[in-house]
Formats: sequence, C-alpha cells, structure tokens
Amino acid sequence: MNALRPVLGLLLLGVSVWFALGLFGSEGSEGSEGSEAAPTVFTDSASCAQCHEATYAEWQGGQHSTSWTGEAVREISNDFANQDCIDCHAPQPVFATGIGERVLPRTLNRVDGVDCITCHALPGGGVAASFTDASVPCGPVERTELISVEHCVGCHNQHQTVDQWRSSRWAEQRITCIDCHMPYRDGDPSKGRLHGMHGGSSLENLKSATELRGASEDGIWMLELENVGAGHSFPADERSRTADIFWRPLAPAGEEPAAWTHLHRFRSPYRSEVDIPDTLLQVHETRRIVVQRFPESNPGEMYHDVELGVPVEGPVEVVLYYKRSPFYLDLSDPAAEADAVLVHRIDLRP
Amino acid sequence: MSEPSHLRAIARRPALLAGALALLLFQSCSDAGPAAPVVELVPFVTQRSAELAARINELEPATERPMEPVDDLDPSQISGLLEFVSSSSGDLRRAGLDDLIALGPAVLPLLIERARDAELDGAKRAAAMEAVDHAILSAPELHAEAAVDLLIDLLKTGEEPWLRSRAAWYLGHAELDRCVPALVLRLKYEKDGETVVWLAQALSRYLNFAGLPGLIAVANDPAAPANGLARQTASELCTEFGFPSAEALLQTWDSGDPDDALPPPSRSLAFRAEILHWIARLDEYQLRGVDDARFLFERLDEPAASELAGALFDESPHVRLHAAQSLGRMGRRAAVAATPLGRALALPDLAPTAAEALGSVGFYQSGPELEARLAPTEALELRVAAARGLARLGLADSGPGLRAALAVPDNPPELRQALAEALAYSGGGPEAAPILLECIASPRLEPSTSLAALGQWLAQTRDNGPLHAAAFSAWRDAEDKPDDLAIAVEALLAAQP
Repeated sequence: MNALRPVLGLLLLGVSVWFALGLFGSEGSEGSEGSEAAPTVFTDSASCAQCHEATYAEWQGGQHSTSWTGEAVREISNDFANQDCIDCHAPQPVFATGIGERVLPRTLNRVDGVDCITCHALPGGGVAASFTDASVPCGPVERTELISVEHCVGCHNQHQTVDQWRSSRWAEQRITCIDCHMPYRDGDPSKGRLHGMHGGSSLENLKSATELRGASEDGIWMLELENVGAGHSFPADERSRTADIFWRPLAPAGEEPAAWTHLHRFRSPYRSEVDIPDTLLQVHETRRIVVQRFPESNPGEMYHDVELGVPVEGPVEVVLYYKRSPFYLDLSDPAAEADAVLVHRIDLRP
Repeated sequence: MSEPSHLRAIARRPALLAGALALLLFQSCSDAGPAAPVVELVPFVTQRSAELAARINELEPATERPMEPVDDLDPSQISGLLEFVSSSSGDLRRAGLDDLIALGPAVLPLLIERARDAELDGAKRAAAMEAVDHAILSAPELHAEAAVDLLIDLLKTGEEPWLRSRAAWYLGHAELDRCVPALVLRLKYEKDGETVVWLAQALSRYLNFAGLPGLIAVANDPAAPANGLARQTASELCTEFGFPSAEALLQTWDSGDPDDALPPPSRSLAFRAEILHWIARLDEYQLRGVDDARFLFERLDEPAASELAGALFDESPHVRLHAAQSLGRMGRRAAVAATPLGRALALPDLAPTAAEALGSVGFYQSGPELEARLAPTEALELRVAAARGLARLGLADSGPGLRAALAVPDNPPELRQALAEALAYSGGGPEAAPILLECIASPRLEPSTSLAALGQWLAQTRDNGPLHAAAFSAWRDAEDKPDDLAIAVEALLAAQP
C-alpha cells in the first residue's frame, strides 16, 4: 500500500491541477480565443424599465400593455378561459416564432400582454433595436425587421388588417404601420418613436381616420362617412371594436334635447355571430346613410332594415361614437357608456 | 465573470478533493454513457396522411361518389316523383321514395338542390330530404358516401334551420364516422336549438357526446322552442346508454370513461384521414382554421388523441404546439397520449405546453415526471408549466415535492403562484392559501387561477364549520368584495390548529 502512495499522490495532484484549471482557467482560455459573452436573455419587460423608464411608461399607457389585463378582453375571453385568445394576447417573441409567421402563446408573464419582450427579444438572447450598440447593458442589435409591416402581421393580419393596408394607396406610398401608430416623439426622428401604439385609443387618430359629412338630397338627410385616414378598415378589424352613428332632432336653444336614435353600426362580427353582417368601413370607402327612423318593434337592434326606415325631416344632430366593446346599455344615451368616445358631431339644418 | 465562492472553497480544501475526484469520475462516466434520448422530428402529417391514403385504397376501394348531376336524369321525372311522395303516405310514399333513389346516387345532388330551393313547395322540399335519408337507410353501400358529403355541405351552408336539423339527423344514420368532425364543428356555430339537439343525437350514434352540453342547455330552458325535443332526446340517450341523466353520461365521457361504462369508439381509416386533415390545419397562418381545429379536437376522443400524439413530433413548431394544446384540452379522453406527451418534455419548445397537457390528460403516473421538472436546474418556463400540470393532476402524492419546491428561496413570483395553486389542488389548501391571497392581490400575476385554486379548497371544506362557510361565501362574492375574501380566509387560517 505504501508503494502505491507516490502514485496515488501524483494522481491526486494531477487531478487537483486539472480540477483547479477547470474551475479557474476556463475564462482566461476562452478569452484568449476571442469568444464573446453570450447575450443576456431578457424574460420580462420590468427589466427594460430600469433604463428605458419613459419608453416603458409610454407602453404602459397603450393598448399592448393591457392586452391581457384589459377589462373588455377579460370579459369577452371569460378571463382567458377561451384559450384561443392567448396566442395574440400573450405571444411568444416575434423574432422567436419568425418574422411574418403566426405567433404562438407563451407560458410566462402573460399579464404583460404584448410587451417589450414580444417585439424586441431575440432568440438566444439580446434585443433587436434600430441601432447596434454593444456598450450599453442590453447590447441592442440593429434589426430592420423591427419596423417592418411583417413584424405586425402575426397578430394583426389575423383579421386581414395588414392585407387591407396592402391593397390601399398608403401601401403604394410606403406609409406603414409605424408611421401612424409609432410616430416620432415630437416629430423629431432623433428622439425615437413613441411606444404607446395608439390607434383607437387616441382621439386624434380616430378623428383623422374618418370624415363625417351630411347634406340634404331631395329633402332627405344623406350622411357620408369616409375612411380618409385609416390604413385599414374603420374600426380596425378587432371584432369587439365598434363605431356607431346616432341622430336626434336638433333641440331649439334652451330646450332639453330628445333621446338619441341609433342609425348605423360599423363592425365585423365574431366568428360565432353568423347572423350579423360585416359592416366595417373599408379603407378609402365612403358609406352613404340616410338619416331615418326605424319601427319601435326591434329596440336595441344594431343592424337596421333600411327598407323599414322612414327618412327624417327637420334639423338634426348626428354623432359618431367609437367603442372598444360592442355592447350598449342604453342606445338612447350613448354618452353614458364609459368606453364610448365621441369622434364626430355635426348639425344638419335645412 | 468570477466563479461562485462555494466552488472556489471546494477547490481550495484538499479534504474535499477526493469528493471532487469522485464527482469528476462520475461525470466522465456519465459523459461516456448512453446519451439522453433525442426526439426526432418528422413530417408526421405528410407521412401519416400518405400512409392512411394507401391503406384506405388497399382496404376500402373507392366507391362511386357522384357529386355532379348526370345529364340523363330527367328533372321532370324527379319533380313528378317528389310531387307523388309529398302527396302520399304509407306504402305509396315509400314506393315513391324507392323510385326516386332507383335513379341512382346521381339523384342525390338534385334532391339536395330541390330541398334548398326556397321557392319550392315545403312538402316537396321535405320529401326531397326524406329521399336522401331513405337512400342512406335502404341502400347505404350505394348512397351513403355521396350523401354524407352532400349533407355535410348542407349542415354548413343550409340557410334554414330545418335543413341543418335534417342534415344532422341523417348524418347520424349514415354510419360513416368521417362525418363526426363536421358534426362536432357545427356545434361551434349553430344557433338553432332544434339543430343543436339533432347534432347531439347524431353524434351519440358515433359514441361522441360532445353535443350533450348543448342538449342539456336546451333541455333546461323551458322557454326554448326545442325544449320538449331536447328532454325526450336526453331521456332516450340515458336509456340507450344506461345512465340516470345526461349530465352523468357527459361526466363519464369527459372523465375518459375509467370504468368502461360506454362502448369503446372504433374509428375508420376515413375518420383518421379526416383527423389528419384537421391536424394539418394547425399549421395554417390564419387562426380561424386553427381555432376550428382546436375546438374540434377538444371534443373528440381516443382515436383522435392517438393521431394528435404523433403530431407532437411533427417538423412544424405550430403543429407540435397546437397538438399538445389540443390534447390538453381534450383532457382525460386523451389519456392515451400520456406517454408521447412525456417524451415531448425533451423538446425545449414544446416541453412547457406538454407539461401542462400531461396534467390535463390526468395520467397519474405523470406525477413524478412533472415533479422532476420542478428542479431549479430546469428552465423557469418548464418549472411553472410542470407546477400547472401538477395542479391539474391534483395528486396528494405530489404534496411533498411541491412543498420542497416552494421552500426554494427566491422563487420567481409566477413559479411560487403555480406551486401554491398545485399544492391547493393536492390537498395542501391551508398552506397554500396565504400565498394564493398574495397572488390574487398582485397586479403582476394572473388572479383567476389562484382564485379558482382557493375556491376549490374552500368548496371542499365549507361544511367544516362557520369560519369555513364564511370563507367560502366570501370567495363566491370575491368579484364584488375582494377585500372580504382575504379577511375571511385569514380568519379561517388563524383559527386553524
């Protein structure tokens, strides 16, 4: 046994050196070969807020941040018991599933909805950005796909919104998604783009999307709603979104106005709503609508039979409301709805 | 980057070198040993579809399926026969129907055309539909294949509810199970109560009970026009299958029929080919088709589950992930897929979805497999999914493993939530409850799952005393009074021995 001691000692020494090199020497040897540290894998948007506080706040104020927690989506998806909604409302990073590919649902951080990670995280770590800078902690890498239409299609072409844009003159002019939904801060390219992704949540966007006009034609009030500014249908084809036109007689000064009458709804139905027509105002479309009164037999009806209508005479007031959910508690008082936004109002006088 | 201090300490202490040596030797042996199983991805949908097509051609030679009217059929002859049938009864009516179908399968599209014709007299339209059914029943070998295609189309596109009702009813007679997916999918879109009843009835003939929730809803609604029909149909199904209620029948089917109370469904190759068609749709860009496929699979059973299990290893990541999702949604009816789902845990992109699905299919032996995925060395996403899978399994045996995982310091909040929910479902309600209350109150976490886990425990214990009853009551009202829930549960926990 004593004779084996030197051998065992040497073996132990050799193993010790090997083990110590394994523990302490790997970094140096890798460094000498010039390898780079693996990019950081970011898994939640809160980590982005540490440096990008203002951008994070913009995102928090937009609809992407509430795609999981928003009241309407919680209600319509039955708290996401309808799991089909998860694909787009809490998607995996777009760069991971593939630019232009349909998105897939993720498992973690669903409350963040469509977050920083969804658009910026790269497979294997690191983040995509509009510039490359290895000196900052997240080490952004320039990826031009980030600002391409293809980046949005995975979710937003599920209802042909991007196809609508492709068929529009905006596409010919190369005015793309981000030109309207991610404008430069203060219009200054050096300040970067706003991350609120506002669409229907911005009254300014809503007003510039459509133009509401009215005139008398042979004694009948004829309205026109023209899609002048949306790069897609109005509302965009998110099936909970609606726009509704109401009218009421113009009240003489000092008198209480009459109740509103629902006239026309612009909306695409859910797939299960097989008995409801698609009435979206398509890109560049002008819809002509006669101001009319409908029989009382169908109160609450949103899709009126124009054959049954009776044209209205006299001065009238017409409004266009936009709403994030398709339900009205009281059609005679649209302003009372918490999420109804008054987009246009016109008076028509003989 | 510096090494962790405890590793440096180990290296510097000679007394530990022997241990390190043993560790290294073990590691080198492990490295030299058999590699971890590699899961091979294949073009499953393409391969399996080709295989099925070949077998169908071999075993079930193509039958004549004329979809276009044949020129030599005389429209006036059909009109005359329909006139005769619609004005006759008994044997004369039957003779007229016999004459109609004697014109051959080519008459079927014309009959459907007449049935759809809203300008035509109602009795003649009904007679045209009856003739289609008569063709299926009296000469199925000649007519059933062609009739099924026509009836499926009518089920989807028939504008009048009575046409869809009849189509559903007659498809139940056809004894061609390839129509099952069309019948199930119609459940997603059908608004007419009577058609819903006939869909349930037709599906039951194929031992599929996905139509029962709709049937039960109509049967429980006294104001529904089809209420009487629904109650009668429910009663007939209960008698036929030996169940005290439609609800009990549904529950047995949904639970995967562990006691074999129902006859096992035997599916044709044509049915399987149809399933493959729907699996292929999981790869579509538009979610419309994907959602339809997911709806369908959720309402099918073992034969479909076995095809989906193969799709877990398809080359397309979309097919893989949605196949796993679909198996999870199928629940215990997909127990046959437990082993393939276990293999799918080796695929990093699929493992989290597979882990959740493993819990849903309810194969109790999956418990240890999922517990192993709670280890801190696993990806966080997989650990969370494994905990969610264990929550769905709800096995008391998982308690110790879940407690150990919860005791790991600095667990990310989402993992802690999933572990607490799993513990609540596994019999550890009192220990999980404080964590669940935290999770419900946290804006960074999804509250509904924790609320459900808490509710499950409170529902089980509500008869244990006034504090339990009060906590359960507070849970039911939690949407309106969320603070009351925390107060009631905390009072309950404080009174625990």
